[in-house]
Amino acid sequence: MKIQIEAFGIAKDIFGNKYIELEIEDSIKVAVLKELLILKYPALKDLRSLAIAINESYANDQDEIKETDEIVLIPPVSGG
Amino acid sequence: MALNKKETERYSRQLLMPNFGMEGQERLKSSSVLVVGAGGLGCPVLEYLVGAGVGLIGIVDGDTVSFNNLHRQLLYSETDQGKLKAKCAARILKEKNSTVKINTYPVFLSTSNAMELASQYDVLVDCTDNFASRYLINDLGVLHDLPVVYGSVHQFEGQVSVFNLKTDQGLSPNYRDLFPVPPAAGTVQDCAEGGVLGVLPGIIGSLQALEVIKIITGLGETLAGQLLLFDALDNKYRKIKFKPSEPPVEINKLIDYEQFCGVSKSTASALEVSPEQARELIEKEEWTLVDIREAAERELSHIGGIHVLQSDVKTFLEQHSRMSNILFYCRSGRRSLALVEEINDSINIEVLSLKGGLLGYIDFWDLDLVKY
Repeated sequence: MKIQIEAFGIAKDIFGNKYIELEIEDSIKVAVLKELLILKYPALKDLRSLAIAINESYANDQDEIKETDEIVLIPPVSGG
Repeated sequence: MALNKKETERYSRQLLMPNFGMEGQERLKSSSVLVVGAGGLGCPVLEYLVGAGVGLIGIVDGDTVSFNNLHRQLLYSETDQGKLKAKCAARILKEKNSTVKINTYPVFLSTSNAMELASQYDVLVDCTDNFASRYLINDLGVLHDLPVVYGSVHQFEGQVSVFNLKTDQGLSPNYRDLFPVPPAAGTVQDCAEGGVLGVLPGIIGSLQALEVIKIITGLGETLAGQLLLFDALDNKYRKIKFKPSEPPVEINKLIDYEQFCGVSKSTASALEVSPEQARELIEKEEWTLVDIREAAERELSHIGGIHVLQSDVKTFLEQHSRMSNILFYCRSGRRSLALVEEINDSINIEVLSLKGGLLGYIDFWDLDLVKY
């Protein structure tokens, strides 16, 4: 299935885009998605705390992803 | 705390609002708020809280006003350059509202002074600009049983939330539930490196002031348990719900936050060279100078060398395995030091970082180049 991910902060710079599309296997877990993303974009690994929200709620590593899900990647931000 | 006639007149536009009234204003008057950081976020937070009539406000900031602060830190004027922000802010805010009591602490919040400072206040506001301070303020709030109003910005985006607030569902989750561990040092740019649109901290700081007022007066619904994301480029707000992590993060005491965030102490590192030594190296053939900053930073000013984005350095090294030794530089020397510390053990050539970065080099050699 094809999913779309919206990126914020430094993740946007790492993707080179606000949105990316990814072809993944059906019903994979968030933990696997994180691994796939790090494989494709190694710089994400250095962020250490990589938060993923599904349908406007923080997702756990065990949550499953569905094709219709709205997925957001939220990295830590420090400026002030 | 009852209001006198003058106060009633001053705050009349607020008093007329439904669900606010005398009671809301009296709550503001009897409350105390500690604002940590009087920069881009701190300026609007302070102005609105002083305007609204919070009884006591503490300002913690050990920094002085710089020329490149003026585009976004609108409390300060050109004549304030070089002066302590906490003192300048207090002076200006007193002129705006003499009835508010203001305590100034022209120091940086640290593990050693934080507990004592926080003990006098009801609400903490995180207007800082680095991860070490953000974890410190979060843990301080948890240990002191105080709500923390968090805000931070990155280029065109901002985040706002309310941590550790007593709600009907118990204490609201905190920063460590959002981001359990800090990113590797040097991976996330701050405003000095990544830049920030002046109006953005104005918006995010105003939202923080709003949350403080809601917490104190009990108006509406706060951002407890929700992370607000704002993107200025498409005017989009997103609210992400979050919960305490399982198992819960244990916070028992304040720790060394600079170490926790991997920030190098200012002690000399064997991987750094001074601007003086750097010039000698650059003149030798076996050394290559590499600038690892972002493209926009390079455009502002540079001291030569080849330009390789930090995110491309590893690929670059793989492709240039026969490269001579490399001297890396960035703006302040922070990112390049983190980089050489990371790669030093895994490559065969010698790598060094320019201590003090571009800024230190410009100062030492008194070059007529832009400092940012």
